[in-house]
Amino acid sequence: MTGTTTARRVALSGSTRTSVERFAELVCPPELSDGRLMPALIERLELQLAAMPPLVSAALIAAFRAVDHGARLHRAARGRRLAALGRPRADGYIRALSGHGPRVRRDVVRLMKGLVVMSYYELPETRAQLGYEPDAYIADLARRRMETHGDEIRAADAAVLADEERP
Amino acid sequence: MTGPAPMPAPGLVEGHAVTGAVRVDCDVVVVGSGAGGATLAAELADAGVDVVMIEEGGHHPTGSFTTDTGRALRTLYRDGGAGAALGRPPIAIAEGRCVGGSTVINGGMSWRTPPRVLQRWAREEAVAGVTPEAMERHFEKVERRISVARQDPGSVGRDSELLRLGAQRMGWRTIDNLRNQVHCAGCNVCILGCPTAAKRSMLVTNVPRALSRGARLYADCRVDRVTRTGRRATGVRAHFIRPDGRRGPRLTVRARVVASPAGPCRPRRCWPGRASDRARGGLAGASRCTPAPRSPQSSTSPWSAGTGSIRPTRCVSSWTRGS
Repeated sequence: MTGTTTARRVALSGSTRTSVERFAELVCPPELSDGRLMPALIERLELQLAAMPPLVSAALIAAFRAVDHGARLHRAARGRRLAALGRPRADGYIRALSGHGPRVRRDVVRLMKGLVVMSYYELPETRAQLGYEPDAYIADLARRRMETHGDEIRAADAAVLADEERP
Repeated sequence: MTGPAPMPAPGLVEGHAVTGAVRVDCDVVVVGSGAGGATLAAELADAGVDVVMIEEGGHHPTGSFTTDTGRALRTLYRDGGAGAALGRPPIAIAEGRCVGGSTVINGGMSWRTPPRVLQRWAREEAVAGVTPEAMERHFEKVERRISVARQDPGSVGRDSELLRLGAQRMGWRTIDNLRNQVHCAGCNVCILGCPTAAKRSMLVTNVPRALSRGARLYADCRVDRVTRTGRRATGVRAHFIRPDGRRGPRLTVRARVVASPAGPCRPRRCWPGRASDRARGGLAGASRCTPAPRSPQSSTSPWSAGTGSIRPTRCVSSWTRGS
Protein backbone atom coordinates (compact mmCIF):
# COMPACT_ATOMS: atom_id res chain seq x y z
CA MET A 1 0.00 0.00 0.00
CA THR A 2 1.32 3.41 -0.86
CA GLY A 3 0.70 6.75 0.74
CA THR A 4 0.74 7.92 4.29
CA THR A 5 -0.11 5.52 7.05
CA THR A 6 0.23 7.16 10.40
CA ALA A 7 2.01 10.23 11.59
CA ARG A 8 3.72 8.88 14.70
CA ARG A 9 4.19 5.97 17.02
CA VAL A 10 2.57 5.45 20.38
CA ALA A 11 4.15 3.06 22.85
CA LEU A 12 2.28 2.46 26.08
CA SER A 13 4.39 2.60 29.20
CA GLY A 14 4.59 -0.43 31.46
CA SER A 15 2.07 0.83 33.99
CA THR A 16 -0.36 2.05 31.33
CA ARG A 17 -0.02 -1.27 29.59
CA THR A 18 -1.05 -3.01 32.81
CA SER A 19 -4.10 -0.76 33.04
CA VAL A 20 -5.07 -1.40 29.42
CA GLU A 21 -4.54 -5.13 29.66
CA ARG A 22 -6.80 -5.42 32.68
CA PHE A 23 -9.44 -3.29 31.02
CA ALA A 24 -9.22 -5.43 27.86
CA GLU A 25 -9.61 -8.65 29.86
CA LEU A 26 -12.84 -7.29 31.27
CA VAL A 27 -14.45 -5.99 28.10
CA CYS A 28 -13.31 -8.62 25.60
CA PRO A 29 -14.44 -12.25 25.39
CA PRO A 30 -12.75 -14.67 27.82
CA GLU A 31 -10.51 -16.06 25.06
CA LEU A 32 -8.31 -13.02 25.58
CA SER A 33 -7.56 -13.92 29.17
CA ASP A 34 -5.12 -16.73 28.39
CA GLY A 35 -2.61 -14.06 27.45
CA ARG A 36 -1.52 -15.26 24.00
CA LEU A 37 -3.43 -12.60 22.11
CA MET A 38 -2.72 -9.72 24.46
CA PRO A 39 0.58 -8.53 22.89
CA ALA A 40 -1.00 -8.42 19.44
CA LEU A 41 -4.02 -6.58 20.79
CA ILE A 42 -1.85 -3.98 22.50
CA GLU A 43 0.14 -3.52 19.31
CA ARG A 44 -3.05 -2.86 17.33
CA LEU A 45 -4.29 -0.49 19.96
CA GLU A 46 -1.03 1.46 19.86
CA LEU A 47 -1.28 1.77 16.09
CA GLN A 48 -4.83 3.02 16.35
CA LEU A 49 -3.94 5.53 19.04
CA ALA A 50 -1.10 6.77 16.86
CA ALA A 51 -3.52 7.52 14.02
CA MET A 52 -5.64 9.75 16.25
CA PRO A 53 -4.94 13.40 16.95
CA PRO A 54 -2.28 13.62 19.70
CA LEU A 55 -4.69 15.27 22.10
CA VAL A 56 -7.29 12.54 21.67
CA SER A 57 -4.81 9.69 22.06
CA ALA A 58 -3.23 11.34 25.11
CA ALA A 59 -6.68 11.77 26.64
CA LEU A 60 -7.54 8.13 25.98
CA ILE A 61 -4.29 6.91 27.51
CA ALA A 62 -4.98 9.07 30.54
CA ALA A 63 -8.51 7.67 30.66
CA PHE A 64 -7.20 4.08 30.78
CA ARG A 65 -5.03 5.00 33.73
CA ALA A 66 -7.83 6.93 35.39
CA VAL A 67 -10.20 3.98 35.06
CA ASP A 68 -7.59 1.68 36.55
CA HIS A 69 -6.68 3.87 39.53
CA GLY A 70 -10.17 5.32 39.88
CA ALA A 71 -11.28 1.92 41.15
CA ARG A 72 -9.73 2.90 44.48
CA LEU A 73 -12.68 5.24 44.95
CA HIS A 74 -15.20 2.50 44.22
CA ARG A 75 -16.61 1.23 47.48
CA ALA A 76 -16.46 -2.47 46.60
CA ALA A 77 -12.81 -2.17 45.54
CA ARG A 78 -11.69 -1.32 49.08
CA GLY A 79 -8.89 0.94 47.93
CA ARG A 80 -7.42 -1.34 45.31
CA ARG A 81 -6.83 -0.43 41.67
CA LEU A 82 -8.67 -2.21 38.89
CA ALA A 83 -5.64 -4.30 37.95
CA ALA A 84 -5.65 -5.75 41.48
CA LEU A 85 -9.36 -6.56 41.65
CA GLY A 86 -10.89 -9.99 41.24
CA ARG A 87 -13.23 -10.56 38.31
CA PRO A 88 -16.63 -10.00 39.99
CA ARG A 89 -15.60 -6.74 41.64
CA ALA A 90 -13.81 -5.55 38.51
CA ASP A 91 -16.87 -6.32 36.36
CA GLY A 92 -19.08 -4.48 38.82
CA TYR A 93 -16.81 -1.45 38.70
CA ILE A 94 -16.76 -1.33 34.88
CA ARG A 95 -20.54 -1.77 34.79
CA ALA A 96 -20.92 1.08 37.24
CA LEU A 97 -18.65 3.30 35.17
CA SER A 98 -20.37 2.67 31.88
CA GLY A 99 -23.93 2.53 33.18
CA HIS A 100 -24.13 5.26 35.79
CA GLY A 101 -22.71 8.64 36.56
CA PRO A 102 -22.01 11.64 34.34
CA ARG A 103 -22.69 11.21 30.67
CA VAL A 104 -19.20 12.30 29.65
CA ARG A 105 -17.69 9.54 31.74
CA ARG A 106 -20.03 6.95 30.30
CA ASP A 107 -19.22 8.10 26.76
CA VAL A 108 -15.48 7.94 27.37
CA VAL A 109 -15.72 4.43 28.82
CA ARG A 110 -17.80 3.35 25.83
CA LEU A 111 -15.21 4.81 23.49
CA MET A 112 -12.45 2.94 25.31
CA LYS A 113 -14.43 -0.28 25.13
CA GLY A 114 -15.13 0.22 21.44
CA LEU A 115 -11.49 0.79 20.67
CA VAL A 116 -10.30 -2.24 22.61
CA VAL A 117 -13.03 -4.56 21.37
CA MET A 118 -12.49 -3.49 17.75
CA SER A 119 -8.79 -4.21 18.12
CA TYR A 120 -9.63 -7.63 19.52
CA TYR A 121 -11.99 -8.61 16.73
CA GLU A 122 -9.52 -7.44 14.10
CA LEU A 123 -6.89 -9.91 15.24
CA PRO A 124 -6.35 -12.62 12.61
CA GLU A 125 -6.59 -15.28 15.32
CA THR A 126 -9.98 -13.98 16.45
CA ARG A 127 -11.24 -13.78 12.91
CA ALA A 128 -10.14 -17.32 12.22
CA GLN A 129 -11.75 -18.53 15.42
CA LEU A 130 -15.05 -16.92 14.43
CA GLY A 131 -14.84 -18.15 10.87
CA TYR A 132 -14.90 -14.59 9.61
CA GLU A 133 -12.77 -14.79 6.50
CA PRO A 134 -14.28 -12.26 4.14
CA ASP A 135 -11.47 -12.12 1.59
CA ALA A 136 -12.39 -15.38 -0.12
CA TYR A 137 -16.06 -14.41 -0.11
CA ILE A 138 -15.28 -11.02 -1.64
CA ALA A 139 -13.00 -12.53 -4.26
CA ASP A 140 -15.79 -14.93 -5.21
CA LEU A 141 -18.34 -12.10 -5.41
CA ALA A 142 -15.98 -10.04 -7.53
CA ARG A 143 -15.43 -12.93 -9.92
CA ARG A 144 -19.15 -13.58 -10.27
CA ARG A 145 -19.81 -9.90 -10.74
CA MET A 146 -17.40 -9.75 -13.66
CA GLU A 147 -18.78 -12.94 -15.17
CA THR A 148 -22.36 -11.66 -15.03
CA HIS A 149 -21.92 -7.97 -15.75
CA GLY A 150 -18.45 -7.74 -17.28
CA ASP A 151 -19.52 -5.86 -20.40
CA GLU A 152 -21.45 -3.20 -18.48
CA ILE A 153 -18.63 -2.79 -15.99
CA ARG A 154 -16.03 -2.34 -18.72
CA ALA A 155 -18.32 0.13 -20.48
CA ALA A 156 -18.67 2.13 -17.26
CA ASP A 157 -14.90 2.16 -16.79
CA ALA A 158 -14.41 3.34 -20.37
CA ALA A 159 -17.08 6.04 -19.98
CA VAL A 160 -15.10 7.60 -17.12
CA LEU A 161 -12.37 8.59 -19.53
CA ALA A 162 -14.49 9.17 -22.64
CA ASP A 163 -15.29 12.57 -24.11
CA GLU A 164 -18.78 13.75 -23.36
CA GLU A 165 -21.04 16.57 -24.30
CA ARG A 166 -20.78 19.60 -22.06
CA PRO A 167 -24.10 20.72 -20.61
CA MET B 1 -8.47 -8.14 -3.42
CA THR B 2 -9.67 -7.75 -6.95
CA GLY B 3 -11.00 -5.01 -9.11
CA PRO B 4 -9.75 -2.58 -11.64
CA ALA B 5 -7.83 0.49 -10.64
CA PRO B 6 -8.10 2.78 -13.64
CA MET B 7 -5.69 5.33 -12.24
CA PRO B 8 -3.34 6.64 -14.89
CA ALA B 9 0.05 7.20 -13.34
CA PRO B 10 0.98 10.38 -15.26
CA GLY B 11 0.19 13.46 -13.25
CA LEU B 12 0.13 11.71 -9.87
CA VAL B 13 2.96 12.64 -7.52
CA GLU B 14 3.12 10.88 -4.15
CA GLY B 15 4.92 12.31 -1.16
CA HIS B 16 7.44 9.50 -0.80
CA ALA B 17 8.75 10.17 -4.32
CA VAL B 18 9.49 13.85 -3.76
CA THR B 19 13.08 14.62 -2.84
CA GLY B 20 13.14 18.42 -2.74
CA ALA B 21 11.03 21.53 -2.68
CA VAL B 22 8.60 21.82 -5.58
CA ARG B 23 7.24 24.98 -7.21
CA VAL B 24 4.47 24.80 -9.77
CA ASP B 25 2.33 27.26 -11.69
CA CYS B 26 -1.18 26.55 -12.86
CA ASP B 27 -4.51 28.16 -13.67
CA VAL B 28 -6.46 26.63 -10.79
CA VAL B 29 -5.28 24.85 -7.67
CA VAL B 30 -7.90 22.63 -6.04
CA VAL B 31 -7.45 21.63 -2.40
CA GLY B 32 -8.79 18.11 -1.90
CA SER B 33 -9.68 15.27 -4.24
CA GLY B 34 -13.07 14.22 -2.88
CA ALA B 35 -16.56 14.73 -4.23
CA GLY B 36 -16.12 18.48 -4.65
CA GLY B 37 -12.45 18.71 -5.56
CA ALA B 38 -12.21 15.86 -8.03
CA THR B 39 -15.44 16.85 -9.78
CA LEU B 40 -14.26 20.42 -10.10
CA ALA B 41 -10.83 19.32 -11.32
CA ALA B 42 -12.31 16.97 -13.91
CA GLU B 43 -14.64 19.66 -15.24
CA LEU B 44 -11.86 22.21 -15.47
CA ALA B 45 -9.45 19.74 -17.07
CA ASP B 46 -12.16 18.83 -19.57
CA ALA B 47 -12.32 22.49 -20.51
CA GLY B 48 -8.58 22.64 -21.05
CA VAL B 49 -7.74 24.46 -17.83
CA ASP B 50 -4.38 23.70 -16.22
CA VAL B 51 -5.37 22.19 -12.85
CA VAL B 52 -3.38 21.11 -9.83
CA MET B 53 -5.06 19.02 -7.12
CA ILE B 54 -3.57 18.73 -3.65
CA GLU B 55 -4.60 15.86 -1.40
CA GLU B 56 -3.42 15.45 2.17
CA GLY B 57 -3.97 11.71 2.19
CA GLY B 58 -2.21 9.02 0.23
CA HIS B 59 -3.10 7.30 -2.99
CA HIS B 60 -4.53 3.89 -2.17
CA PRO B 61 -5.67 2.08 -5.30
CA THR B 62 -8.54 -0.38 -5.29
CA GLY B 63 -6.22 -3.37 -5.23
CA SER B 64 -4.75 -2.26 -1.91
CA PHE B 65 -8.01 -2.32 0.05
CA THR B 66 -8.33 -5.01 2.67
CA THR B 67 -10.98 -5.96 5.22
CA ASP B 68 -8.77 -4.89 8.11
CA THR B 69 -10.76 -2.15 9.82
CA GLY B 70 -7.84 -0.81 11.83
CA ARG B 71 -5.68 -0.49 8.75
CA ALA B 72 -8.44 1.30 6.85
CA LEU B 73 -8.94 3.73 9.74
CA ARG B 74 -5.24 4.48 9.82
CA THR B 75 -4.74 4.88 6.09
CA LEU B 76 -7.99 6.18 4.64
CA TYR B 77 -9.55 8.22 7.45
CA ARG B 78 -8.70 11.56 8.93
CA ASP B 79 -7.57 11.30 12.54
CA GLY B 80 -7.96 7.53 12.47
CA GLY B 81 -11.72 7.97 12.21
CA ALA B 82 -11.84 9.79 15.55
CA GLY B 83 -13.14 13.09 14.19
CA ALA B 84 -16.02 14.89 15.83
CA ALA B 85 -18.02 18.04 15.40
CA LEU B 86 -18.19 19.67 18.79
CA GLY B 87 -21.59 21.03 19.63
CA ARG B 88 -24.75 20.10 21.42
CA PRO B 89 -24.66 17.20 21.08
CA PRO B 90 -21.18 16.41 19.75
CA ILE B 91 -21.36 14.31 16.58
CA ALA B 92 -18.79 11.79 15.40
CA ILE B 93 -17.74 12.55 11.84
CA ALA B 94 -15.80 10.12 9.74
CA GLU B 95 -13.90 11.99 7.04
CA GLY B 96 -11.79 10.45 4.33
CA ARG B 97 -8.17 11.46 4.01
CA CYS B 98 -6.95 9.78 0.86
CA VAL B 99 -7.10 10.32 -2.89
CA GLY B 100 -10.84 10.32 -3.55
CA GLY B 101 -11.62 11.76 -0.12
CA SER B 102 -14.68 10.63 1.78
CA THR B 103 -16.17 9.06 -1.34
CA VAL B 104 -13.67 6.23 -0.82
CA ILE B 105 -14.98 5.41 2.63
CA ASN B 106 -18.68 6.22 2.51
CA GLY B 107 -21.50 3.89 1.53
CA GLY B 108 -22.09 5.57 -1.81
CA MET B 109 -25.54 6.96 -1.04
CA SER B 110 -26.07 9.55 -3.70
CA TRP B 111 -28.89 12.05 -3.58
CA ARG B 112 -29.38 15.34 -5.30
CA THR B 113 -29.01 18.49 -3.29
CA PRO B 114 -32.54 19.31 -2.07
CA PRO B 115 -34.18 22.36 -3.68
CA ARG B 116 -34.43 24.09 -0.30
CA VAL B 117 -30.64 23.90 0.07
CA LEU B 118 -30.09 25.24 -3.44
CA GLN B 119 -32.46 28.08 -2.65
CA ARG B 120 -30.56 28.86 0.53
CA TRP B 121 -27.25 28.95 -1.35
CA ALA B 122 -28.78 31.37 -3.82
CA ARG B 123 -30.34 33.50 -1.08
CA GLU B 124 -27.68 33.52 1.64
CA GLU B 125 -24.46 32.82 -0.25
CA ALA B 126 -25.39 34.74 -3.42
CA VAL B 127 -24.47 31.75 -5.60
CA ALA B 128 -25.82 32.34 -9.09
CA GLY B 129 -27.34 29.71 -11.35
CA VAL B 130 -28.23 27.12 -8.74
CA THR B 131 -31.96 26.95 -9.16
CA PRO B 132 -33.29 23.38 -9.21
CA GLU B 133 -34.13 23.81 -12.89
CA ALA B 134 -30.67 25.07 -13.79
CA MET B 135 -29.00 22.31 -11.79
CA GLU B 136 -31.00 19.52 -13.39
CA ARG B 137 -28.63 18.92 -16.31
CA HIS B 138 -25.59 19.12 -14.03
CA PHE B 139 -27.05 16.55 -11.66
CA GLU B 140 -27.81 14.29 -14.60
CA LYS B 141 -24.26 14.61 -15.84
CA VAL B 142 -22.75 13.81 -12.45
CA GLU B 143 -25.10 10.88 -12.01
CA ARG B 144 -24.05 9.51 -15.39
CA ARG B 145 -20.37 9.95 -14.59
CA ILE B 146 -20.54 8.16 -11.25
CA SER B 147 -23.22 5.65 -12.28
CA VAL B 148 -25.95 6.56 -9.81
CA ALA B 149 -28.53 3.78 -9.80
CA ARG B 150 -30.61 1.52 -7.63
CA GLN B 151 -28.97 -1.49 -6.10
CA ASP B 152 -29.31 -4.88 -7.82
CA PRO B 153 -31.94 -6.70 -5.73
CA GLY B 154 -29.70 -9.66 -4.94
CA SER B 155 -27.15 -7.48 -3.21
CA VAL B 156 -29.54 -5.85 -0.76
CA GLY B 157 -29.14 -7.28 2.72
CA ARG B 158 -31.68 -8.94 4.95
CA ASP B 159 -31.21 -6.15 7.49
CA SER B 160 -32.41 -3.64 4.93
CA GLU B 161 -35.37 -5.81 4.00
CA LEU B 162 -36.39 -6.00 7.63
CA LEU B 163 -35.95 -2.28 8.00
CA ARG B 164 -38.25 -1.72 5.04
CA LEU B 165 -40.77 -4.20 6.39
CA GLY B 166 -40.77 -2.48 9.75
CA ALA B 167 -41.14 0.93 8.16
CA GLN B 168 -44.05 -0.25 6.07
CA ARG B 169 -45.78 -1.67 9.13
CA MET B 170 -45.34 1.72 10.75
CA GLY B 171 -47.11 3.21 7.75
CA TRP B 172 -44.00 4.94 6.42
CA ARG B 173 -43.26 5.17 2.75
CA THR B 174 -39.95 3.62 1.76
CA ILE B 175 -37.94 4.33 -1.33
CA ASP B 176 -34.98 2.57 -2.88
CA ASN B 177 -31.65 4.06 -2.08
CA LEU B 178 -29.71 5.58 -4.92
CA ARG B 179 -26.03 4.73 -4.88
CA ASN B 180 -23.09 5.53 -7.09
CA GLN B 181 -22.24 1.98 -8.09
CA VAL B 182 -22.11 -0.37 -11.02
CA HIS B 183 -23.56 -3.74 -10.11
CA CYS B 184 -22.41 -3.55 -6.52
CA ALA B 185 -21.55 -7.07 -5.41
CA GLY B 186 -22.77 -6.52 -1.86
CA CYS B 187 -19.51 -7.17 0.00
CA ASN B 188 -20.60 -4.67 2.67
CA VAL B 189 -17.13 -3.28 3.23
CA CYS B 190 -17.78 0.11 1.59
CA ILE B 191 -16.32 1.91 4.57
CA LEU B 192 -13.00 0.12 4.20
CA GLY B 193 -12.65 1.07 0.53
CA CYS B 194 -14.60 -0.82 -2.12
CA PRO B 195 -12.49 -3.87 -3.05
CA THR B 196 -14.23 -4.38 -6.40
CA ALA B 197 -14.42 -0.75 -7.56
CA ALA B 198 -18.15 -1.26 -7.94
CA LYS B 199 -18.64 1.86 -5.85
CA ARG B 200 -17.84 4.71 -8.17
CA SER B 201 -15.86 6.85 -5.81
CA MET B 202 -13.75 9.74 -7.04
CA LEU B 203 -10.77 7.41 -6.88
CA VAL B 204 -12.08 5.51 -9.90
CA THR B 205 -14.04 8.26 -11.68
CA ASN B 206 -13.25 11.95 -11.61
CA VAL B 207 -9.67 11.69 -10.34
CA PRO B 208 -8.54 9.46 -13.22
CA ARG B 209 -10.60 11.56 -15.61
CA ALA B 210 -8.91 14.76 -14.49
CA LEU B 211 -5.46 13.14 -14.66
CA SER B 212 -6.14 11.76 -18.12
CA ARG B 213 -6.78 15.32 -19.26
CA GLY B 214 -3.57 16.73 -17.97
CA ALA B 215 -4.39 17.64 -14.37
CA ARG B 216 -1.67 17.09 -11.79
CA LEU B 217 -2.31 15.56 -8.37
CA TYR B 218 0.02 15.90 -5.40
CA ALA B 219 -0.87 13.27 -2.79
CA ASP B 220 0.47 13.05 0.78
CA CYS B 221 0.60 16.83 0.72
CA ARG B 222 -0.91 19.07 3.37
CA VAL B 223 -1.87 22.65 2.61
CA ASP B 224 -0.56 25.06 5.25
CA ARG B 225 -2.05 28.24 3.94
CA VAL B 226 -3.48 30.11 1.02
CA THR B 227 -1.09 32.81 -0.12
CA ARG B 228 -2.27 36.18 -1.27
CA THR B 229 -1.26 39.52 -2.63
CA GLY B 230 -3.47 42.17 -1.10
CA ARG B 231 -6.96 40.75 -1.22
CA ARG B 232 -6.21 38.38 -4.04
CA ALA B 233 -5.49 34.68 -3.47
CA THR B 234 -2.40 33.76 -5.44
CA GLY B 235 -1.82 30.12 -4.60
CA VAL B 236 -1.08 27.80 -1.70
CA ARG B 237 1.86 26.76 0.42
CA ALA B 238 1.92 23.11 1.40
CA HIS B 239 4.29 20.41 2.54
CA PHE B 240 4.61 16.75 1.70
CA ILE B 241 4.16 14.13 4.39
CA ARG B 242 6.71 11.33 4.57
CA PRO B 243 5.50 7.72 4.93
CA ASP B 244 6.61 7.77 8.58
CA GLY B 245 4.61 10.94 9.18
CA ARG B 246 7.53 13.36 9.22
CA ARG B 247 7.28 16.68 7.47
CA GLY B 248 8.69 16.51 3.95
CA PRO B 249 9.67 19.08 1.33
CA ARG B 250 7.61 22.15 0.62
CA LEU B 251 5.20 22.55 -2.28
CA THR B 252 4.47 26.06 -3.50
CA VAL B 253 1.72 26.53 -6.05
CA ARG B 254 1.05 29.78 -7.87
CA ALA B 255 -2.42 29.89 -9.37
CA ARG B 256 -4.93 32.33 -10.78
CA VAL B 257 -7.71 30.70 -8.79
CA VAL B 258 -7.67 28.79 -5.50
CA ALA B 259 -10.56 26.41 -4.81
CA SER B 260 -10.87 24.66 -1.49
CA PRO B 261 -13.82 22.30 -1.39
CA ALA B 262 -11.83 20.09 1.00
CA GLY B 263 -14.28 18.81 3.57
CA PRO B 264 -16.81 20.71 5.56
CA CYS B 265 -14.63 21.40 8.58
CA ARG B 266 -10.99 21.88 7.69
CA PRO B 267 -10.21 24.53 5.09
CA ARG B 268 -10.89 27.70 6.99
CA ARG B 269 -7.72 27.73 9.02
CA CYS B 270 -5.71 27.82 5.78
CA TRP B 271 -7.34 31.03 4.67
CA PRO B 272 -5.74 34.32 5.53
CA GLY B 273 -7.63 37.33 6.76
CA ARG B 274 -10.41 37.95 9.19
CA ALA B 275 -13.04 35.33 9.89
CA SER B 276 -15.73 37.59 8.47
CA ASP B 277 -13.75 37.89 5.22
CA ARG B 278 -13.31 34.17 5.04
CA ALA B 279 -16.98 33.57 5.70
CA ARG B 280 -17.85 35.76 2.73
CA GLY B 281 -15.22 34.18 0.54
CA GLY B 282 -13.82 37.68 0.59
CA LEU B 283 -10.60 37.04 -1.33
CA ALA B 284 -10.68 37.76 -5.01
CA GLY B 285 -9.60 34.88 -7.19
CA ALA B 286 -10.64 32.41 -4.55
CA SER B 287 -13.47 29.99 -4.33
CA ARG B 288 -14.41 29.13 -0.78
CA CYS B 289 -15.70 25.76 0.27
CA THR B 290 -17.60 24.99 -2.91
CA PRO B 291 -20.11 22.41 -1.77
CA ALA B 292 -20.12 19.08 -3.54
CA PRO B 293 -23.08 18.92 -5.89
CA ARG B 294 -24.47 15.90 -4.12
CA SER B 295 -25.29 15.27 -0.52
CA PRO B 296 -22.41 14.03 1.60
CA GLN B 297 -23.10 10.80 3.36
CA SER B 298 -21.40 8.92 6.10
CA SER B 299 -21.78 5.23 6.34
CA THR B 300 -22.72 3.25 9.39
CA SER B 301 -22.42 -0.38 10.22
CA PRO B 302 -25.47 -2.42 9.43
CA TRP B 303 -27.64 -3.30 12.39
CA SER B 304 -29.83 -6.26 12.95
CA ALA B 305 -33.17 -6.74 14.58
CA GLY B 306 -36.22 -8.94 14.49
CA THR B 307 -36.29 -12.43 13.12
CA GLY B 308 -34.58 -14.23 10.32
CA SER B 309 -30.96 -14.75 9.49
CA ILE B 310 -29.04 -11.51 9.14
CA ARG B 311 -25.44 -11.64 8.11
CA PRO B 312 -23.97 -8.20 8.40
CA THR B 313 -20.98 -9.25 6.36
CA ARG B 314 -23.21 -10.11 3.45
CA CYS B 315 -24.94 -7.59 1.19
CA VAL B 316 -25.29 -3.87 1.65
CA SER B 317 -27.85 -1.79 3.48
CA SER B 318 -29.94 -0.04 0.93
CA TRP B 319 -33.27 1.37 1.98
CA THR B 320 -34.14 4.76 3.23
CA ARG B 321 -37.21 6.38 4.58
CA GLY B 322 -39.16 8.44 2.09
CA SER B 323 -39.71 12.09 2.73
